[in-house]
Amino acid sequence: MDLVDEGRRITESAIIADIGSVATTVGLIDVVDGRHRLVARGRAPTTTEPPHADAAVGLREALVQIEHLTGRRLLGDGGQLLTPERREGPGVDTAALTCSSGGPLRLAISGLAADLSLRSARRVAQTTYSEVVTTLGAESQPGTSGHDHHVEDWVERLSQSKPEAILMTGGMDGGPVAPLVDMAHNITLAASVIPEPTQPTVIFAGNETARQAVADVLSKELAFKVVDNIRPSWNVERLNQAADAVAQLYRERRIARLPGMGEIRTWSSGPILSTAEAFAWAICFLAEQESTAALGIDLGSANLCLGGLVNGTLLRRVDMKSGTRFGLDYLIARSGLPQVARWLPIPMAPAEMANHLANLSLRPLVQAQTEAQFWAEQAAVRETLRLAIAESGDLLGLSPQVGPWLMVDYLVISGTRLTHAPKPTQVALAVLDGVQPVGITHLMTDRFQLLAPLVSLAQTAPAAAAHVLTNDALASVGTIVAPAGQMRTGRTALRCDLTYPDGSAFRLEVPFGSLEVIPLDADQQLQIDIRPAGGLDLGLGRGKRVQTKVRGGSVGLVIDVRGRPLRLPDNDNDEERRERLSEWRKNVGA
Amino acid sequence: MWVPEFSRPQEVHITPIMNIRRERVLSRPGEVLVDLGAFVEPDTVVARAEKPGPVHVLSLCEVLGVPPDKVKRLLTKGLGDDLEPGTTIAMRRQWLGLRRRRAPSPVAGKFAGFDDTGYALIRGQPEPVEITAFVRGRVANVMPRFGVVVELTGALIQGVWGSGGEAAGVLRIKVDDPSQPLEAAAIDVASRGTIMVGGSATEATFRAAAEHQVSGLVLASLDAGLRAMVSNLPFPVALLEGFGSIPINRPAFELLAELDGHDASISGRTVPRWGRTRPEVIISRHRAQPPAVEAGGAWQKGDRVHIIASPHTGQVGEIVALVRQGKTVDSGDRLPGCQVRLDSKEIVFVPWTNLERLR
Repeated sequence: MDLVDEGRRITESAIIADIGSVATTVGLIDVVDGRHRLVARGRAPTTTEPPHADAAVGLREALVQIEHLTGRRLLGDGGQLLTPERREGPGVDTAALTCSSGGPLRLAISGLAADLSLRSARRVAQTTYSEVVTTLGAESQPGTSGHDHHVEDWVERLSQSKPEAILMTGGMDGGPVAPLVDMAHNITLAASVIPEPTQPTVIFAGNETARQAVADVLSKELAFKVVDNIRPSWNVERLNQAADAVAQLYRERRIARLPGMGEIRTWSSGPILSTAEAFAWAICFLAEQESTAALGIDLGSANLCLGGLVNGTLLRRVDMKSGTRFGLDYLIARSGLPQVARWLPIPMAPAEMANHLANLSLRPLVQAQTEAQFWAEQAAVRETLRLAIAESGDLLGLSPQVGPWLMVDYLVISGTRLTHAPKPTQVALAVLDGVQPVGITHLMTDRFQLLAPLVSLAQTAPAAAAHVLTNDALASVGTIVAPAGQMRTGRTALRCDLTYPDGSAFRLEVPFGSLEVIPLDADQQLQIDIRPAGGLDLGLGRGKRVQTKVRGGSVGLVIDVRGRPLRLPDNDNDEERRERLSEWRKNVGA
Repeated sequence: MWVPEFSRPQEVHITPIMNIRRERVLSRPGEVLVDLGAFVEPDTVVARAEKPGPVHVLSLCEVLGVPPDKVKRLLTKGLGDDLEPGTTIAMRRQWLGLRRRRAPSPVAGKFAGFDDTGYALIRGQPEPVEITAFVRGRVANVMPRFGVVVELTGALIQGVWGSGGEAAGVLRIKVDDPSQPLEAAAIDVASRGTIMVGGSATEATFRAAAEHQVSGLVLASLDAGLRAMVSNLPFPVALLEGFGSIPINRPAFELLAELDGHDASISGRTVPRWGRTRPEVIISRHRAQPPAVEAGGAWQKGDRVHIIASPHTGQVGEIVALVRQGKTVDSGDRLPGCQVRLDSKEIVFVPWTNLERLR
């Protein structure tokens, strides 16, 4: 059946795909009962690495799975995706992809002030899959003693680190130009020893008054681009243009050059976006639909992405060192094994846990078959989430009044190890333990790990993408009610009046230290009227009453009054700690 | 629930005899030193290049006492010219030529660059970079200026983690059982130049191995806490099973025992991603014809498999039934997989993702 809008044929069917570090996930979208729906999903190992070294191999394998599931032919005799959809049935109208495979973009940053321009430059680097390979600081200014030595140092560092791009920052708008011109000369000199085909592209994101003078020096020798000053004044930070420029380079230098991408690009109707940027835009779309704040956390095998709209600001952050497989060594080095192990609800010797996690980092496809493996992995997931929120506090604009806690209306979780725990209650508990949200938060999961490629699809088929995103891509887990603050365990923390749409109501008094679940389906709502005890805050102030409607999900309404921060017994009290964790598991049915 | 319908098996080589090809290439253009068809030993240098030397910066403005726009016409050397320590790069004549101010090169090298601010770049002497054949075999392909492909017939045993570079030596098995640790006492002066095999090792073993200059160690497993120490050893280490206390799988142990005393090559290089590389042991064997290579393909009954995750890590068996609809395992998840009859005759369920096909 053709859907026609003003004489123009609308896209009916599409393949959306995400090529991740470990797995390639593909979805088939088609029209069902007049509406676009996600009808099938396939998944296969990503094959950008040897022995295949061709991303199309894994993509085809996932497409073949969909062919078997649906009986619909998608691939031609030569293995190419059939587009557009034929009248007889084979093929699809369009394809849209995202990708996070391939290594990070090697980025050098340069700036004038460590605590201003360089700090913001690092934040830009963190908005996509990039790695800061060297930092060129402010010490090499004219007249500074040791100037020659520092220029030599820059030359050596650029020569050794071989960046693909240099993010040049510094100076407030209207400020002195000379320091940036000198920096430009130094960069040109240092880059001159790098063979021409591999010379870095320079992105200038500094004092706008210096643009022309800097361009006069740099553009003669190097590929050069100008974006908004990331620090136009001391208290203003504008990262978006610089972040977009770095993301563009990542697409050109990394995604486009992956083995097999030449062929895959011919299948795709629009540009192939990076998974992180597409994921962030997907969450922003959700936030704008609901006129609210939303945060997405995508915990993959190799990295962790935060994306969304928080405090009216677009948020994008990629931590290249965190991941459920390739980030485990770094997690232990950063947090320490005891800090990770404190989340274990079962006895496990530290060496055994260290061995488990080390083996997982070697075998990214392995799935937990034993309880010990599962909880070792889940402990690592919790600690990774906790660190991600703690280290992103300034980006998240965490409230100084409420405390360093995340407060958003919608929280979307993606990443197989997190979203595909055997029970939805385990997903909810991992988020409660690791993220520790505060206030009233609706929790959802990226059901099929296809949220990001829907944004790619939106470039050519926006209506189809929007419909699938809002109807099929997300699964509701439920609503979390969690106050910030501490009080004595056992004392009444929340007085809740809960009213169903049919008028039936009940009252609940929740003691501090407890975790309660009230079953509530995804299509059900509940009116809640909650009065927290004086020292607790649900987001409107200490002791302030909250009245609102909440939605259910696979778990329901979760009332988490364990306090923020979540306090566990010390590692010296292992047995007490495990009892506490086991009790919480039991309370939510995990 | 994640149901990975992977049809393309992970594989591991524990192969007594096969055709093996190894690319030996430089990371920058250089010179290939062997001819097509030449027989090479593991330590034969097959290609050589020069790594650019360090860069030195000289402020000609400061040395000569002139502004930047005046420097260029004072240069006495051109870009690319060879320099010795003290060679004048630029010179300024003062007082009607009676006095000369010179800018000498600080090192031997080449005049590499010059910019409008009056800085000169001198590239120090390059350092040679060589690549060896790593294995005993025949040069099967030459990639001009970059390297060769060496081909041989031999045994290949792949591991999962390793450290250190490459080495060659005589294979020595000093244990009688796949789980038996390699004791420090078993390493002595006769161990020099050998590649020793054991189930596991302690800090004392590693110290003894370093002291007696072994060429490499092949172990089944290692405590994860020893990784940092092992990564700093002066010889390569290859783990066949992973971290923990896991014995060598039976086929690998039997193959290594059969090849005790043979010349071998070991690589500890492990790159988990972005160009995945596994540690390996290669032993050249001369036979008329290795068996035909079996095609890969989807999992099937009869496949010999190596289990790579708990609770049966390191064990080997044969697939006796495919369980496509999956089975709920102890972790609570429902996973597709198969029934495997272990060499002990026990039949166990193993998810697909926790298996490697034995080649």
